[in-house]
Amino acid sequence: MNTALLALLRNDLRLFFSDRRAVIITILVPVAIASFFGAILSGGGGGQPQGKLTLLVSDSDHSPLSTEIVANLKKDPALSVSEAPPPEAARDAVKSGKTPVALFLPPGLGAQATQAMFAGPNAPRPRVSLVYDPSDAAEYQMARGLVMQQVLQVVSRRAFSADSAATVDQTLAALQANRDMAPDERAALTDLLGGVKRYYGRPGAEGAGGAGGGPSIGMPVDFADEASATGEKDAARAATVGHAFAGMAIQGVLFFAIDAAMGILRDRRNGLWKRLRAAPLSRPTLLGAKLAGTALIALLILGIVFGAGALLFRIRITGSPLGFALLCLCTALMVSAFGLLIAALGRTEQQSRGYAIPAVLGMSLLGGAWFPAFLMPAWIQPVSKAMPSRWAADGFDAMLWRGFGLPAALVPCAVLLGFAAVFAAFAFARFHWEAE
Amino acid sequence: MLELQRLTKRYGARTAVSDFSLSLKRGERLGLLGPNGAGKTTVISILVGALRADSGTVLLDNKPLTGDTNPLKRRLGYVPQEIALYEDLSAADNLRLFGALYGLKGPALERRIADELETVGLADRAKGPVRAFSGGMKRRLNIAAALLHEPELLILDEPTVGVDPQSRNAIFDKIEQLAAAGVTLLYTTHYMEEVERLCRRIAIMDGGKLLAEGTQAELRALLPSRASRLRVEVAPSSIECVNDDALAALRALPGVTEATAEGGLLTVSLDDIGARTLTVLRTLGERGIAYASLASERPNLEEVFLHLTGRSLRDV
Ligand SMILES: Nc1ncnc2c1ncn2[C@@H]1O[C@H](COP(=O)(O)OP(=O)(O)O)[C@@H](O)[C@H]1O
Ligand SMILES: [Mg+2]
Repeated sequence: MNTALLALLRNDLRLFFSDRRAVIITILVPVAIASFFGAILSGGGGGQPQGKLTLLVSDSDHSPLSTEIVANLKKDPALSVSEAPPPEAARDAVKSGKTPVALFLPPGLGAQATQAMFAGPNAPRPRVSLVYDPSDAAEYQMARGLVMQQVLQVVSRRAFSADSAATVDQTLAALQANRDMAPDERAALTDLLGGVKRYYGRPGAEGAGGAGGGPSIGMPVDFADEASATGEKDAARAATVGHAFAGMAIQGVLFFAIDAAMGILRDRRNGLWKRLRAAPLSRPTLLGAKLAGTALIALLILGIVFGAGALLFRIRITGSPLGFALLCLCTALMVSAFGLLIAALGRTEQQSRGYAIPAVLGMSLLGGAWFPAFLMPAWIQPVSKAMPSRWAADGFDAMLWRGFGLPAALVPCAVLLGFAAVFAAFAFARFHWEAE
Repeated sequence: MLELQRLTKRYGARTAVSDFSLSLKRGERLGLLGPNGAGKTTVISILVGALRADSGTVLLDNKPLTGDTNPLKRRLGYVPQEIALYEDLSAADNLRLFGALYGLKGPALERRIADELETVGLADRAKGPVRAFSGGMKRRLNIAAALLHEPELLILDEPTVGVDPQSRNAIFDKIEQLAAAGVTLLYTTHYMEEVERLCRRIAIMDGGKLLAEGTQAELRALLPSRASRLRVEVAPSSIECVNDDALAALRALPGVTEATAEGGLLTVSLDDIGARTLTVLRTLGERGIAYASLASERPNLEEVFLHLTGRSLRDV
């Protein structure tokens, strides 16, 4: 191993830790901002979502009832409904963040829902489930309300509609079997259904229909909601907080890259660079040591920021820990090469800081460090994808709270390494090697 | 041992070093004397490999000193004009880095660090951060950093700038010890007294060019043979009369190359002591300047520089 490179690397680490205040600020700022975001956003409230809410529906029932529910949902002006027949496809769409909420109408829904309505609280009910992206809690709340309303309306209306004469018989039987119901209530319902039966029995009877629907006796279906990825009760919170910490960790190390670049420019001004160039050191050794030193410190910052997130907000790696570790490493390398690039392009500290700070802020913002990138308008998406920070943020999202496996980390890692290679190559080519 | 051949370096339209050649034998002590901006640091930067010359070559023992990782570089010790130290690190940690850059490690490195700290008088400050050092202590550490790998040729670029007299003497002692131990020295400065004290051979440069080189005696021989200077101790009663006006009047006299005053001491450089002394004394009398004592002395490098450039070393 190269003694000089190790010595330079050790020196950079010593320098970093020699300035305690800078260390604390470097680490505390991202933790503080992320905690702030975590605290205010994880209440789950959020604002009303803008525009139409996209709802993916997977209808495995194909009964008239389920078809009517889907049709009514499509008519709702607040929703933009698309259908994804296989349930797995719908699930994946939510998991990958393409769609905030998916609705699953199970097989047998049409056949069972109406009886279930009168069968008492302990009777088996068909399970209508909603899977949602935990980072879109507000949208989920809205979708849930609209879906419930539709399901209840359609089921109860059908319970009293023309094609339900047979259903009424079945319902009456279910009612008789319901042991949980108070006798007087059962008697009243039996009367009511008897009346309905007689009503259907009228010659030329038409469907009752009607906008308001019938009275809802009990819940005809079970609503199951499931946060995509984690399935925990506070998954939404985990997602918001996880994203905030990932975003601020990325921004934090990008800012550290500026510090590292300023260190190089300061050495140049102080004559240290000339002193180093006078020593028998190759250029790759000099820049390689800087690259490795900055990357190691960035790795440490990422570790501490995420560690603080784990301690303070219980963020967890629900995906692949190896994928998470690789992402940290690739992010650190990218950031470190970015620092070299700033140092290579800059002449003076002030000048470089002048453009590096807006560059880092822009990268953080467009890359989704401040709020998830998929909430941004479509035209920004290509710009956002051109930011290495976006790939890092998406990768961390996938590993932290979306619960994806290692493969989902590999593409972001590859892209980050690509950015690192391009930055480093540019830096190497444009570096002012001369000590002037 | 060292040969600089026709070095030229331009910054845009300005030529910092122009066709500069110089050679140094093993064991020699060479002083490179020149005012600020003469191009000394540029020459040194090229020599140590931190700056690329536009043209010219540097040979060490007849081998070109090119390439970032040239092993010949290990034989050079370089004390930059700037304090090239990490202020936030301790003296020992700074030396650990510079030693390791030249391939030292382990106990051998630690031993060298202890030795060098001892000889520059910083042993008790090894663990203290450089930030808290005085200017003189930093300068001494700057020198120690160049010596860890025991170079054969030590290059010092203005090593006494901003140093208290005590540290300056410590630095001189250190340099003399090294020279006595056989280390070859290249010492740049704009202080003539320093080269007079430390160096056998002196090269004078200005405007990027080498103007003259040789021993002190050889350089003095460049002056007219009767050149000298008068040192006039002004009587306390007439010190107020020694003003800029009086100095200008002295400089205007034929054969007077320079006139300076410091406190009560007036120094007048003459091209011919026999022919010019009387006119000088008469001018002093006309201006009411009485003197307590009068002495003449052989010209020093100051006069040589003045003679070569028409300017004074201190003025620039
Ligand atoms: N990086 C630079 N860019 C432009 N001019 C420079 C640069 N470095 C030095 N110079 C000029 O080159 C000349 C020689 O400078 P330098 O070698 O530092 O002189 P010295 O060390 O003798 O004081 C000066 O005129 C200085 O202004
Ligand atoms: Mg200089």
